Amino acid sequence: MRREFERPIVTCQERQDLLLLYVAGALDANERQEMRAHLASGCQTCAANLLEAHAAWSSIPAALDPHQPASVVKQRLMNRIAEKSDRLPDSLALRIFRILVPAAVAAGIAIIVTHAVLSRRIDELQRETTAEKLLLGFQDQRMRSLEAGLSNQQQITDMLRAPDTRLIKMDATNLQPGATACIIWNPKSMHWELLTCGMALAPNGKTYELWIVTQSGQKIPACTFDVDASGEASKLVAVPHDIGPMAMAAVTDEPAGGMPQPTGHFQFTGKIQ
Amino acid sequence: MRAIASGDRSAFSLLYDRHSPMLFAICRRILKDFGKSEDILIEVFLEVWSRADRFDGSRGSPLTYLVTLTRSRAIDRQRSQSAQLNATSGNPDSTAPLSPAANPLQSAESKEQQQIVRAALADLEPAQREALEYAFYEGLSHSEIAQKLQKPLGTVKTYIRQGLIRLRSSLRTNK
Repeated sequence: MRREFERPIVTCQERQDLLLLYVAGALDANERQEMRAHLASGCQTCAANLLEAHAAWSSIPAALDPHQPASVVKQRLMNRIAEKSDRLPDSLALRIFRILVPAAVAAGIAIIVTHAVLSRRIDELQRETTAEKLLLGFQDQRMRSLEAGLSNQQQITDMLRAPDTRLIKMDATNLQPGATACIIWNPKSMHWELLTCGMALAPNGKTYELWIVTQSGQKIPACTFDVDASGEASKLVAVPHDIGPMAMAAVTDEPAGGMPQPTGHFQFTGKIQ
Repeated sequence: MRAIASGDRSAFSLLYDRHSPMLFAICRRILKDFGKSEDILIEVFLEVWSRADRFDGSRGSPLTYLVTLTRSRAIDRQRSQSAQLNATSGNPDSTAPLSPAANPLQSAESKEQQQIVRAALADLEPAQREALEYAFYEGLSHSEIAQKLQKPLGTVKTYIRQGLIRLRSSLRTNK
């Protein structure tokens, strides 16, 4: 802060004389730098004073006696100019170069940018199309699932409305704490609707299997099923007509794909009354 | 300069006729050699022809541009020449008389300018004038001038500043 106060503040009035030293190359490096920065800032007063300083500096040789160079000098000069002009005036060539090159560069950049933008847009459209296809596929699948669910619910509703529908209450073993399950059974249509809630997911490589146990002790596989994340499952099963009186229903865990006879642990059991 | 930039040789010829006497005098004053002065003059005008499109009138008059360019090229040549002379002990044509030309093309305007500048320089102390001439024609740094004149550096700066203030004032008065 102190340095700021100590730094001499130069006014444009003072710069008027400093500009004379500036054009004569007599300013030290710091002063020259400060002057350049000030001129670059666009100060109109100093810009005008700079012109005046240049004029004063370049007027020094006006005191010399002029010397007419020999006419051959001009001839040599004009010959050189003619040689240059036969090719192409440098200034013209430079101007053409300066116009064409930036134009070509600008056109190139425009093409690259346009190509990049279009490619990006095409990619976006392709991605959008792919996403839309996936979404449509998902929605279609979801629709079919909902339709199946609706149909299932309709069947459950129909079964519940039927006067002879019965309920098999399933008791959870200690392997399914907190889980509940039941079977809605319509003896007339011989259909079971298994409903579960809060079941644990079957371990990897395993699935759940529903069994019909007859009064003769025969264990008949009814279906395999899996539960969703909330442990829910709903499974409609057609019960064979020729199995004789049924004693109970049971659910075990079995290797994926199911087994013809129970091998796993009992998850639920329910007596048929 | 715009005409020259568009390739107008007659405009270029006119520019040469108008300013070459003064520019040639600058070359001769700096180089003290007739042939080299001619070479530099041609070099300067070729550069003007080639780069006239770069001339920016807002940064000074064509004459200021020409004087600056000529001084710069001549001092560069003089320095390289001095370096060669130091190495080879050559013999430049330094005794060529600085005889004025017949000046048929010198305009009344440039004569008037000459009188103004001469009067302004004449008003200066000899040391002040000398400092200015060393700086302009020999391109000496201010410490080199201080050494030559055996004056402190600050004094040399003051000489140059005062000399240029006088010139500026005279040019303003006679504008």
